[in-house]
Amino acid sequence: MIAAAQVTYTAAQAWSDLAQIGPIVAVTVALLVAVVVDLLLPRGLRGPVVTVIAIVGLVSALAIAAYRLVNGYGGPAYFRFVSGDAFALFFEMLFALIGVLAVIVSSSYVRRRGLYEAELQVLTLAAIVGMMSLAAAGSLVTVFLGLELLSIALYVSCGYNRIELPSQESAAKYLIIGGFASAFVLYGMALIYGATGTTVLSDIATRVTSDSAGNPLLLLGVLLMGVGFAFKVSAAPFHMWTPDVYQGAPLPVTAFMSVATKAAAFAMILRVFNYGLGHLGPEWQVLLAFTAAASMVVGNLMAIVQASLKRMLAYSGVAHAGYILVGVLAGGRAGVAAVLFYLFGYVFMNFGAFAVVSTLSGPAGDGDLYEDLNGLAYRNPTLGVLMSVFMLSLAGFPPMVGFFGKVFLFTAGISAGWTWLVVLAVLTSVVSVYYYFRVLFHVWSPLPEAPVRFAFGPVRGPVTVVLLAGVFAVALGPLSGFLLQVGLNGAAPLLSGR
Amino acid sequence: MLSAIWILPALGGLIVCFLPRGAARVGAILVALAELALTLVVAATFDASHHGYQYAEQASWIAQFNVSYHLGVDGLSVWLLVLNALIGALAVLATPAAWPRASAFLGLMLLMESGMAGVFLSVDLLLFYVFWEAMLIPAYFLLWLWGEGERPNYAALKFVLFTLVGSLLMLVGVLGEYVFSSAHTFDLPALAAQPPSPAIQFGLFALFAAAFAVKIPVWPLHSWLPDAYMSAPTPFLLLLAGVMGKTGAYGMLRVLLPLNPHPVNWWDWNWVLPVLAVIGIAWGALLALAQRDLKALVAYSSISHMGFIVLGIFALNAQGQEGALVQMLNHGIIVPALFLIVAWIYARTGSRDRSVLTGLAPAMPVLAGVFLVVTMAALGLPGLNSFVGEFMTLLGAWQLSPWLAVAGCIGLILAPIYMLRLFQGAMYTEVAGPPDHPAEGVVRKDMARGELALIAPLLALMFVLGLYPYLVVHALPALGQGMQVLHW
Amino acid sequence: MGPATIVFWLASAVALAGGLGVVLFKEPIRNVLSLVLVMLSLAVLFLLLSAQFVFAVQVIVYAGAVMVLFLFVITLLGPVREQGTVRLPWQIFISAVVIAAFAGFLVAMLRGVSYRTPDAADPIFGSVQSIGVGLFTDYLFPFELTSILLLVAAVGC
Repeated sequence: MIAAAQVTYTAAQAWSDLAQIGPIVAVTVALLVAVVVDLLLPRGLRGPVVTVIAIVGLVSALAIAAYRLVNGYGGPAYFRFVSGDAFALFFEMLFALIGVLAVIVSSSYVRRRGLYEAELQVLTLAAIVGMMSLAAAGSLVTVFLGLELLSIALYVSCGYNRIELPSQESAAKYLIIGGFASAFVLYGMALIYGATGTTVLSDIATRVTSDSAGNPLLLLGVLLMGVGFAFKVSAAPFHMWTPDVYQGAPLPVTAFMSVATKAAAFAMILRVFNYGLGHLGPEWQVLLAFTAAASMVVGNLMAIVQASLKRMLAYSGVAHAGYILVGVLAGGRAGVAAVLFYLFGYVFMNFGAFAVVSTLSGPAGDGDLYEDLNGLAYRNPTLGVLMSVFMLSLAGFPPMVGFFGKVFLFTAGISAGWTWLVVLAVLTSVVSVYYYFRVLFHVWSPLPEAPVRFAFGPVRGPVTVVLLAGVFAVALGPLSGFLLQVGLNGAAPLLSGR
Repeated sequence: MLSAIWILPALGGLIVCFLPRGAARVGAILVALAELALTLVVAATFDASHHGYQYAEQASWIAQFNVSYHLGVDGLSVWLLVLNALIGALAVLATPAAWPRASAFLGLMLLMESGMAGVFLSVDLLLFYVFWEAMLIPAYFLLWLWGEGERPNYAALKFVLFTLVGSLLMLVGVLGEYVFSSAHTFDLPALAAQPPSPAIQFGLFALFAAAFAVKIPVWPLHSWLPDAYMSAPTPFLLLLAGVMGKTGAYGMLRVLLPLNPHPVNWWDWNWVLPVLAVIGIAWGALLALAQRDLKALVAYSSISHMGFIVLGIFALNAQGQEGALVQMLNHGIIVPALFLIVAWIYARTGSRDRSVLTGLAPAMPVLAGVFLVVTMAALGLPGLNSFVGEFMTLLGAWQLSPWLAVAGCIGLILAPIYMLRLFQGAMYTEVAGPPDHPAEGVVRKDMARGELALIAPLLALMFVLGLYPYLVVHALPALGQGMQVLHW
Repeated sequence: MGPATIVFWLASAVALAGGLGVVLFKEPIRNVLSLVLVMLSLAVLFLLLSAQFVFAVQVIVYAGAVMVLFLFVITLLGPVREQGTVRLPWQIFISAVVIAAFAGFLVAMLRGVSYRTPDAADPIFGSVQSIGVGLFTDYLFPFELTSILLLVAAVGC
């Protein structure tokens, strides 16, 4: 009766598996410690201590990931449900980095807005655990759980400002649409499982060959998962939630979502489509090419007419999702590496821009109108100059990192024969210059006569983040070869299986 | 050595931005003069008998894509570098000490000069593109934050969007060269050695030509130019009109022709551009005739003159292309001088309207004399510089097609009409009615010594290049590797 | 059509009806009771798949404990009838059309699919033992991830 399950799982294997997911473990430990500490400490101490714990956890995750990346990276762990390969490590580093930036910015922000500090940091940590699992996923089960973990943490974060109606609206919208998207993904996964009989991605990769293109189960699965993924990366025509959610959510949460969720969702697309379903390329490429083209056009055109910076950056995020999809479509080592590079660079420019805007928040609310930036360059020259750097980088001007990101994406795109998409991307990014330069216009316009609605609070933390992001946004341009090499290493595991 | 040519103004510009007003001006002048000295040393030690890039510097930059940091000078770029440094120095000197936010202005001017120097120096296609885009950022800020007129923001944005449409299309072209050339590199000589098939060249040519044609500008892509020139402040205008337009023509010679020597598929691009150039020559000249505003007149005449350069380039023979290069230098000397004179007249009379300005010569004889020389140079009087270039250009165009050359002559015929009418009207027409009712507060005094010193180098160059064009022409055959398509 | 098939269709129909009830009823109590119906019919479906343990857990934990908690909360707050009026009349029509179209699309796609022959079942499949072994071997990582997920949900409440 008992004879059925012979479990052979040695201690050595347990240690090795644990080491494979080292960065995830570090963040999880920080999360658990933070939850307990939050309950034990007196109220005044909770916020600062939890913030410190979060930073320590994230920095150690960053260090572990970097160490493992340098000293030979691993492979599948925990029965191939998760992986510690270079691709996972790249994203773990990325998420840990975003986490550090987000924790610093939100710590200052919640104090100025008079909100609780500790819980937001805990939620951020939880979202990062979800994202890391997603990037490290070796199975559709892990993919879905990571997706849900990050989504639920973010639903709550969006509604964090409980007394403000927009924040509530944002959370409700995100919850409903996010749940919808998750359902799509799950249905798609079920169909894929039905067709292949496994959820493990490496098995799917071997069982799905180009002959399986005629299998309706697979095609439906790809379609449904593609729709769900498009929701998550906020690619048109599934982007409708993005501006409302971004606008209502507290600023640091918006900033975090705009870069981290996007990166996580692209990690998921790369894992599932480029790796697991790589042989169905012609099928999902049609879908994604349409989505990419629509995202570039819709995102860039809609961004022009926005009055709120959060909404503008939301639509600009839609457009950037379109550009990044070019790299996904191109695939191959160069394409995937370009996507990784772009996601890494995008963090600094976009998060930096949000961090600048977040310095304007006070007890009265978030100053996220163009007018609130008026004369920023003279009120605070450092922020003014760096905001210009971020905008120029988003617009793709050299020598900033955004330019090189586009160069790599488009090179991969042209090499893979997506020239029409690249030309469209180029033409729509001319449109984008209009609204990015509109920000510059306000930043460099003379100081307003009337008193400004939003002056600076005590913002040492965010300014540090802005400076850091600014330095990276500029320096990663000329030094892009290094990051590209890391990206190329990260791309390798997705191709070796086939 | 060559790295210093772009790093010096870049670093200098960044430092100048943060200096106080007085120190900033002194610092900027020192940097600009040092830059000029540096380029002159390069030009003086340039070996005209040596083929290939000189003072070349090469280092791997983004190894995965074979991008290298590759700089070099050859006969094509050496004198343009000097022109850039010279006009840059004059522009800095022409900025008054009392200029609003002078530190930032001077700093950005130096940054722009640095970007253009980089364009002239790059031997790597991606590096070329980086500098090409980088020079646009300071130009935008200069045009917008210090622009004159009603809507400097509009002019600046129009300028940027026009240029960007072109240059982003060029980005596709740049990447296309990498992908489609079997060399798989961004190095210009290597790319020129292995051009893609004519059908691919046809597409790539269009992408590159779009960027360069906007920058020059070639008709019908010129509509940003009048707006931008009208609202540009004079010191910046010197750089914008004097040098930036030349980067487009330079790009045609350095990149467009060598990499796409045979762009033929549905039609032959090499025939399209000279026709557009000739239309531009006539169009610019006719519109210049119709202008009342002095600055607008010079702006449109500039379109006409740039047409000659493009015509020369696409004559695809030695005379035409040598003429084009000479004409690039000439135009870079004459147009800044014209804009300086217009600015001075405006400062003295408060007007740029051709119908209001009359009989200025008696009050300001020296200015009248200087204006006369510049006018003569602009309309191509033999003995002054422009004659040489236009003559060579038309000679080249004649070999391509006599019809084009004849049509191009329309520009030569119209130029004396609008230029002489301008000069005569403003300087020598008798004042009707009671003598001289200057408006309140208008100062009618002659040129100051500083102003004369500012324009003197330009005047001298007009004579030198007019009488001894060999000075620049002798360097031309010393072309870099992969430039064999220019039969110099 | 064997008895299993009949039970399957019956349970599915009841689950769908329950789902509609959750969405359409205006009284919160009825919503919750409809949800219980969904849970129970899902439990029947699990049983059909020989997943006895999941069936039992579904009945005890979801239909039992969780739903009782729901009922408690709602009765404590006072079951107020929802006061909303229909604000988006024509959107309902459009969504009905889209849903019908999507359902038709699914049916058209899935007709005549040659399904994979199921793998040979484990003799202990569906038992507590097999689930226990699964949770601590193959599915260890997802299992742990789920626990964090629940923790976060608790923090977020």
